[in-house]
Amino acid sequence: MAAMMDILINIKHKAYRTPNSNTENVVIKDLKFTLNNKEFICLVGPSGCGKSTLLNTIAGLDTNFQGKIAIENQKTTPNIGYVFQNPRLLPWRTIRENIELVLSNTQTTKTVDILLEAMQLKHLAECYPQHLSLGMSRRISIIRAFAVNPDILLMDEPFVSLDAPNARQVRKLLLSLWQQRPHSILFVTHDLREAITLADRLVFLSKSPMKILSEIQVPIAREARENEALIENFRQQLITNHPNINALL
Amino acid sequence: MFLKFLTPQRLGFISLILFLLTWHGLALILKQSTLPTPLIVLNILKQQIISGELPYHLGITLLRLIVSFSIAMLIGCSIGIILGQHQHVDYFLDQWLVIFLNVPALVTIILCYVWFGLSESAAILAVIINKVPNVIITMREGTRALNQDLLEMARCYHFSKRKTFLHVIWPQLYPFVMATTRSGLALIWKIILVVELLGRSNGMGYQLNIYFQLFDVASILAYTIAFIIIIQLIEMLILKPLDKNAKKWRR
Repeated sequence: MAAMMDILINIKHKAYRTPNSNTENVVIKDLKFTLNNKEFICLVGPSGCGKSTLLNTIAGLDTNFQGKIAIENQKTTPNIGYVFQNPRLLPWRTIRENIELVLSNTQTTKTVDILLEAMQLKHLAECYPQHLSLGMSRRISIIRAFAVNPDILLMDEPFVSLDAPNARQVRKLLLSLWQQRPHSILFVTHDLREAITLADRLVFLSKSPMKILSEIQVPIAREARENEALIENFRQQLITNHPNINALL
Repeated sequence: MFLKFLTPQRLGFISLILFLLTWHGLALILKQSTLPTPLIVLNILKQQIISGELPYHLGITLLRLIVSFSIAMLIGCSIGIILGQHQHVDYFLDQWLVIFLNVPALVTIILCYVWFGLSESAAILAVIINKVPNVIITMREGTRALNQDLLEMARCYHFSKRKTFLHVIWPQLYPFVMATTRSGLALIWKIILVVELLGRSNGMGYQLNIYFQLFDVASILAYTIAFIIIIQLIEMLILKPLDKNAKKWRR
C-alpha cells in the first residue's frame, strides 16, 4: 500500500472535434484541483458538463488533452476502480466471471463472495448479466470496482437507477468499505444531498466548458451523517450562501 | 386437433415425402432416361458406396474443402480484423478488396491453372482467393462493431492482451465468424467442384464431368444426394452445437 498518494489534476484544455465541421467543442477549461490521499470528493455539476470526460482522463482512458494528471509518491501504476455510468458488464460471462476477471493473479476469489454477500447478490453469481435488472447490474459493477482493492475509486453517478432503499444500502456499504480500507474516491453526482452525505469535500463544477466554481469542505462529522436534518440544514445553508451553486442544480 | 398434429418436425417430414413423390410421379409420367425415379438413384447411390468409388471422390473433395476453408478463414480473419482496427490500412486496401470481390470465380480458377499449372496447390489457391475477400469483409464489419465501452472497461482494469481478446473481443466476433463459416462453406462447396472439373483428375467435380459426358443423370443425382447429406451433417453435428453454445448467455 502506498503511504501517501495525492493526485494533482490539472487540465488546461480538453476539446472534442465535431466529426463533420472543423469546429472544436471545448469541454474542460483550466480545471485544477487535488484529490488528497484517502479523501472522498464529490463532484457536483449539471448533467452533460463533462464530468464523465474528467473521470476518463483520470482513469487514463482519454489521454488526448492538454494538461497533466500527476500521481504523487506512487511508483507503480495505481489500481483504479471505475464504476461507469452504464454497468459495462460482459454479457457473455457470468456475474462471478465478470468480477473475477478484474482480479489480479495474486488476489483470491474469496473477496468476490464476501462482496456479493454484502450486496445480497450471491444467489445471482452464476447468472448472466442480461437476466438482471439494471439496478442489479449497477451493483455488480460497483462490486467489480471494489474487488480490485482500488487506490483510486472513480464513480460516475453510480446510484442513479437504484431505488431509494437500495441506494441507501449501497451507500452505507461504500462508506463502510472505504473506512475499512481507506482510498481516494472521486464520486460524480448531481444530487446535493447525496454528495453531502458521502463527501469530505464538495467540488462544484460549471456548465461546459467545465471549470471549478467552488470547493467546500463538509463540516459534518462522519458519525453524524445519518442525521438527515443536519444534512438538509447544511444543504440549505449552501444554497443560500452560494447562489451560483443553486443555479447549477 | 389436426393443427396440433402438425409439429414442425412432422411438417418437414411430410414436405420431404411430398417432394420425393412428385419426383417419382414426374419420372413415371415422362419416362425419360434423363429423369430416373428416386428408387433408381438410391440404388445407384448404394452401389457407388459399396464399390468405394463415391466415398473416395467425396473424401478427396472434402479434404480439399477443409484445407482451403481453414486457410481462407485464417487469412481472412487476420486481415479483416486489421482492416477493422486501422482505418488507414482499410482505405489503402479497400480498392484491392473491391477488385478481388468482383473477379468472377471462374476467371480466378482459370488464371491459377494457367499460371501455376494443373496442380493440387493451384486448385487450393483458386478456392482460397475466391473465399478470402468475403471473410475479410464480414470480419471487418465485426471488428468495427466492437463495443468501445467494454474495451475501455478492459483497459481501465488492466486486462492483458490475451484476456482482452479471449473475454472481450472474441465473444463479439464469434457471430461474425459463424456467419462467414456458413456462407463460406456454401461458397467453397460450389467453387471446388468447378475447380475439380477444370483441372483435377479426382474428386466430385471430376466425376460429375464424366457422368455429364455419359449423360448418366442417375449417377449425377446420386452424387448430389450424398453431397446434400454431407452438408446437412456438417450443419447439424458441427455448426448447430457451436451456435447453441454461444447463445446460452442471451436472454
